[in-house]
Amino acid sequence: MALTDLTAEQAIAAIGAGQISATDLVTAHLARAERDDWHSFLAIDSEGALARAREIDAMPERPPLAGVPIAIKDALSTRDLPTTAGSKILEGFRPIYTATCVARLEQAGAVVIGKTNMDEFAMGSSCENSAFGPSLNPWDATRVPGGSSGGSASAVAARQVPWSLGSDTGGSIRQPAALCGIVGLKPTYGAVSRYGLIAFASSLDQVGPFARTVRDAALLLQRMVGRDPMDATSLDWPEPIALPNAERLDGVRVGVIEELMGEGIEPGVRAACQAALEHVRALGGTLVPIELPHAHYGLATYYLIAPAECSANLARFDGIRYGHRSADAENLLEHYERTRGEGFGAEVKRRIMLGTFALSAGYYDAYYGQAQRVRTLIIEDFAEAFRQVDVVASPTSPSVAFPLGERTDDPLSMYLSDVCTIPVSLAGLPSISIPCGLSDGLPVGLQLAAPAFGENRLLSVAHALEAAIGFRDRPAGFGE
Amino acid sequence: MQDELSAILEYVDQVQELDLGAVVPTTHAIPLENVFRDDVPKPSVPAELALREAPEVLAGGFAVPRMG
Repeated sequence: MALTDLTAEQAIAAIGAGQISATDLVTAHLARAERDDWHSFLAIDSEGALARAREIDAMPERPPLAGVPIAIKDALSTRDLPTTAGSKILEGFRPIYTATCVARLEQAGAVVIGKTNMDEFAMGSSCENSAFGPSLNPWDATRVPGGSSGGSASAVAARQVPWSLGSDTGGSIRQPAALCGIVGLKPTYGAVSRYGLIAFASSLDQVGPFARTVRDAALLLQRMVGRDPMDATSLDWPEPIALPNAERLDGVRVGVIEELMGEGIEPGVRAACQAALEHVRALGGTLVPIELPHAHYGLATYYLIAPAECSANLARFDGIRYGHRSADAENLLEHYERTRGEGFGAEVKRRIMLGTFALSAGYYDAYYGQAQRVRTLIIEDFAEAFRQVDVVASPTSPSVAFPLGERTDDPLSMYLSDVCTIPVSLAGLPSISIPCGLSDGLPVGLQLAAPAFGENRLLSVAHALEAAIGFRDRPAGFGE
Repeated sequence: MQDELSAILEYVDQVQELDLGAVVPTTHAIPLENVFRDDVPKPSVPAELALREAPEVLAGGFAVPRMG
């Protein structure tokens, strides 16, 4: 088996058994990352990664993650390594510190090989809003990998790394995971420190892993959760994240979200999800239809709350302390206007304007205030559902990977890509997407969500289903 | 851009159709009390490092265009 086909768990075992070295593993992945046919990467640190791998190989006792390479979404700060968040306004920027979640993984022995492409400031669902050009879907290079963490998903699907980190505000981990046929996990809001994550919408943003197996995703999450004094919203974590072993689902009640299984969902996607959910019964669990009566307000609610928050968060990009600065402005106002006008792309400007409007005097109550109240109803819908079931399920994305350019002229049609993931995000719940089949030769993702802090239950159900579904397909040209 | 913003506003307008007088707005999905820490002085970022990424530095500070 090629080194790039190993899961992280297999690689750690092989390194532990002395069959391969971290240096071998990092070298093999760097070769695929450097020949980047999918434009997954915005920066690659070959020298640093190899040096670190050799250092780990020389340790008398290897760290738990043993030198397995990882790619990091470019929204996460990495000391001295270019970090742009997919924006011209940060081109060339090198952070002076490393995000806590990345530092924790490095401490545990993961080796960062590079930074992955993304929609500018995580605003988008296709990676086409990257100022540096989109990543491509390894299953079909004429199609999008999803977004916003598109490069983190394509890198794992294309076996440039066994796993990666993304961030998820309204679906930015789960949707690209679904479109690229891999696993993507958004933890409970506050589970992972966001110190060093370039903020988009602070009441929603959360960091999480991409991997090719549920257990690999759990391995990464294990090392990242828990309170960080540098992020006041990070939570004390109640119990360690366990590596899931469950093979059965006896007594587990899975709620099928009725509103997300009907209109607006491609028939092929619906069929693949329904077939996957049949395994719940075969494994001893039950399927329970559930309703989330306010779920269909989710998208509108999100597109008020997220732009409002981003309009405040993105005020920091002023061309004074870091990043792009427009030359020769006559005065401060002109400096701001030109710097931000030149530095931000169209979608970012659209959302800043929308958010500023939603927060403005006279409109605040009708838009932002009203959206926060609808958010309460959506949270209550989930709470009611979890009185009847242990986890809820739906498709992750209403469609399979769509062609490049298909939705770029119509922002609303792009926003609809996240219709299944957004309600879960608004409620702050942990949620995972696992590959569950193909439709027209392209992967379909099944989304599962659990109550807050229910990561262990979620991973356990996802693991049992993953094994039963037995998704073995690979993009064409990827062996086996 | 103007047309796109109008279309988006028209779409998000659907939140207005709900009567939500008594519903408490959510600011934070996971309940969280205020978080405090002791106010202890500790070393901070050295000035040189803080200025490293600045597009323009003047006399040990960030250069800012004149106000008016």
